Amino acid sequence: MVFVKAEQAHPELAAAAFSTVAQQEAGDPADRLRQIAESLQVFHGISRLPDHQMDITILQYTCGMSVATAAAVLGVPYASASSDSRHAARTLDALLDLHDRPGETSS
Amino acid sequence: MSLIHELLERTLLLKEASAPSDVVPYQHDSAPGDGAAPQVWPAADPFPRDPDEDDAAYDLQTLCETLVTQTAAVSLSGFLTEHLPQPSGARILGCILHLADAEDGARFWWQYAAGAEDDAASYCLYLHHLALGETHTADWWRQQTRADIQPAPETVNLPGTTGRAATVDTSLPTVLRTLSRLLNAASRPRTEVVTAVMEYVPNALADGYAENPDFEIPLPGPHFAEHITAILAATARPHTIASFAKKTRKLGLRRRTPHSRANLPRPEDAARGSHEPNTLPKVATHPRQSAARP
Repeated sequence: MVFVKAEQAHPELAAAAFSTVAQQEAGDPADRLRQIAESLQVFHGISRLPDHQMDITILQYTCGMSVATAAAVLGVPYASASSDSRHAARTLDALLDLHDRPGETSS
Repeated sequence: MSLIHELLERTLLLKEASAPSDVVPYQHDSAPGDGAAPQVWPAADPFPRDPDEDDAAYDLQTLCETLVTQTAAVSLSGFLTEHLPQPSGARILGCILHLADAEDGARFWWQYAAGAEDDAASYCLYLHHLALGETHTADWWRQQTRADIQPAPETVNLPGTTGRAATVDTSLPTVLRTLSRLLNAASRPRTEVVTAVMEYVPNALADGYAENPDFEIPLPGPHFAEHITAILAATARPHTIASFAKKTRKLGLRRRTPHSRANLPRPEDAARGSHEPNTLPKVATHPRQSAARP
């Protein structure tokens, strides 16, 4: 049951993949779809990060804040935010299984 | 690690996300006050009737009657299950319901048939929405009919005009327009088949609702397929409404006893009467039908 609860706790971020700058700047529809598909994977990975890592990742990359601003928004020291950001990237790297088969999640 | 940073950087959101544009482009031609003279309210005629709407309603009536009369026997024979018709049957069912003033049910079955790429059903929907003044929906259904691209105009040589060929448009709209102008509404008798089917079907659908109260769709009642086949077999020959009215007065909705057949004034009616009491009245007084009706 604990597992089910944890599963339900993941926020639904997938819709954001349709509103990224990258997909709008993509030239032809095929590129755009490829970009949306990629972002869907990444957002899926982000939603599975631990809470504090997810917060800093979304503020820093998805909202485009600097680490200092994000730390101020979150109310945590700059060092913590910076550390969380680094750990988040490493966790995502593992989650998305980037070095084995690109674009495929390991969940 | 640089790859994950690239991926993350591409998740940057737009400052102002815009909703994707509508799949069906909206035309402003009929929007009130758009480019046209400003409307005065209250206007002398606030809801002016578009003559196109009346034409569409009339065309739809013609199409429905023609379809029911000419193709009901063939189309309604194919039922996937007891309740679920084939697309062609659904089209006819829609027409019958339209003639019986059950617009919602008609629309449902036409959409069902149109989903199976039944062009005639799409055309019915086009006329239906046009008659209601829903021009955008009507346009959309007209595109679904592919009436514009099929069939190719036929070229015929008219007698007396040697060497000069005339192209004849055989598309559904043109044929229908010709048909409805040839048949004057006032002088056009409603055929016996149409009347008989229309008397039965609304009751059958009322039964369907009573039987399946959880379903919003107009399902025909039990044994619908057999009943329709029986009705069509009984009234397969072309008769005018006059002879049918005479007959219904004698047959009535109550069952006529076999003895009263001796009172028939004309021999042709007597010949017909010999088999009809076995079909029509039996259908009209089906036990479940009378029991289920509130």
